[in-house]
Amino acid sequence: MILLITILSKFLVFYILLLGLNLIVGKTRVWAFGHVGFFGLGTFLAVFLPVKCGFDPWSAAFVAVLFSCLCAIATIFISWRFDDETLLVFTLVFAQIVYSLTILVGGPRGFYGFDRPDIWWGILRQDQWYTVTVLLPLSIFSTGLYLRFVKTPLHRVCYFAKDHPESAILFNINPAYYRAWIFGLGSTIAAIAGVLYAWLIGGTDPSVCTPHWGILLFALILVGGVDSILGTIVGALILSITSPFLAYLFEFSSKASFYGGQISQIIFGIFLIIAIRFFPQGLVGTSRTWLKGGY
Amino acid sequence: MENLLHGILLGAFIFLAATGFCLVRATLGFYNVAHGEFLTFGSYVCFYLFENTNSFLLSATIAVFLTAFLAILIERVFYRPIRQSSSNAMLLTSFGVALVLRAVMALIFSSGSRGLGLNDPAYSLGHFHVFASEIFASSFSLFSFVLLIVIIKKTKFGLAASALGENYRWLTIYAIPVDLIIAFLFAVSGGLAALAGILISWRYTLQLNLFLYTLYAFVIAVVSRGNIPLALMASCVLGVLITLGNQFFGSPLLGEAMAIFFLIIGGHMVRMCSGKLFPLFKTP
Repeated sequence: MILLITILSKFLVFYILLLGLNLIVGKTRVWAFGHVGFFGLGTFLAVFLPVKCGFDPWSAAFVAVLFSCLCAIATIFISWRFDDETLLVFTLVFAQIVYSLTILVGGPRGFYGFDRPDIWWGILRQDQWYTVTVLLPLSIFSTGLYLRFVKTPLHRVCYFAKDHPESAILFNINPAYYRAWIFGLGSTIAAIAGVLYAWLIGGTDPSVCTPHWGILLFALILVGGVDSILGTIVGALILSITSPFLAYLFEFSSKASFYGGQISQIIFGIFLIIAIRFFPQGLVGTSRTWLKGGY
Repeated sequence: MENLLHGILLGAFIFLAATGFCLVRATLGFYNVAHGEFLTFGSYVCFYLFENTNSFLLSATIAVFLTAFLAILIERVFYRPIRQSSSNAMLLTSFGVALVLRAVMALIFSSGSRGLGLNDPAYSLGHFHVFASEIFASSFSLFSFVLLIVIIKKTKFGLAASALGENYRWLTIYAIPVDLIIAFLFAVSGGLAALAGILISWRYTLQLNLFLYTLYAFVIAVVSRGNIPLALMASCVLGVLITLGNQFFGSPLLGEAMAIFFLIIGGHMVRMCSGKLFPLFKTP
């Protein structure tokens, strides 16, 4: 039961994280490989500020999200005039800087053991359902927000600016401006997911923000399907289930989690290669086309 | 002055690691992210062969050829079938290949860093100390730089390879052996990466995680846009920036990350401002 609750909690965190990434990739076509940097920054500050600086967890969470948002604005501001390739490298470099900082400040093992904030009048503070009760409403809320956004005129403008940037300029629409907005929003969502992840595992360590993991997240978005809620759910499911399942299969070995992690990477890699070659619209997009009788 | 020298020598390692990456970017128009895994593969094969044969030269040569063969194999199996699609599809496939290769190597070779097990003697040049691996790296960098420039500028094969970056389909109409050229480019890319991996593990440590060198190669390719002379300059500048960054920030990882950051900003500013002043900065 505990394992199931942990998997469910991780699924919800990864869902929120991937939703932010899907927003950036789907609405702006910016390949934010270093998206995980904002997640890592959120996780790190949410733990570092209460443990080392005496902040209470709520203020730390607020500062973590705000600071990540400012970093996203700074990143987009610096790379404003550069092309997409440069922005891609910038996000990777940002993730590398966050990774280096977390190692420098917290050491390679990070730090654990901070008090979770009081929610629901402190009833579930030590309970295993604690994070689920926080994550579930937030996931539903963010999904609702995403679906609401899709129906707004702003969304149509974003699509126009993404698909026809030259025409958009003729209509006095600046594509870079909308790209910056979406990038900032997606990165802030990643930071919120990071704070929640810190509450879930009760600490932080540098492994949550390696640039390599960022590339893996990006791959999962593509496997699931870009610009789709269902694709995000598929990506988050694969990410949260594969590793514990494989670790369970290798339970007889003392290196169960190591084998689980490595074999899940092989599976993700093969998934990605097959998806690019045979399902270029992602698993969800291709299934929809099949169901409609196309392809 | 010493920082400058050590920075340039570090740049030689980076150039060797990034050249293959730049070659593939310039000709096929995509970033081969799996390139970093060639470095790891080459260094580990050399390490295990060296343990058994005790001959570094023989082990290194076999490792370079095996990695070149692996690169050709990967191109044949994964990239060739989707060459007609967009460069984005090839980039994403290279992610998949990188994930698989990295995990397979982690399962085969035990993780953790260690030395190659070979002495790296230091030589005195006046006030400076230079290691044998650094001398090898700078010699190989210069040699490969000159050789690549001669091949690209002076041979039909090189011209065909350059034309590949311009228009792939036209070359097939002229009955130019495109597949052979691409296979050769991947072999060169893999071989140079293996050489870089071996020299890096000789000078520093043998480790599975050489992602940082992939990031260097990425940055060099983005800044130089696949231009080899510019890649050499950018590598040297990055080497110097890393050496200075490590001293300034007191943390190698943070110093490296900040050096990359400044190189991108600087590289773009130089390109934006002086494209007309220096023809060298023009992209191919």
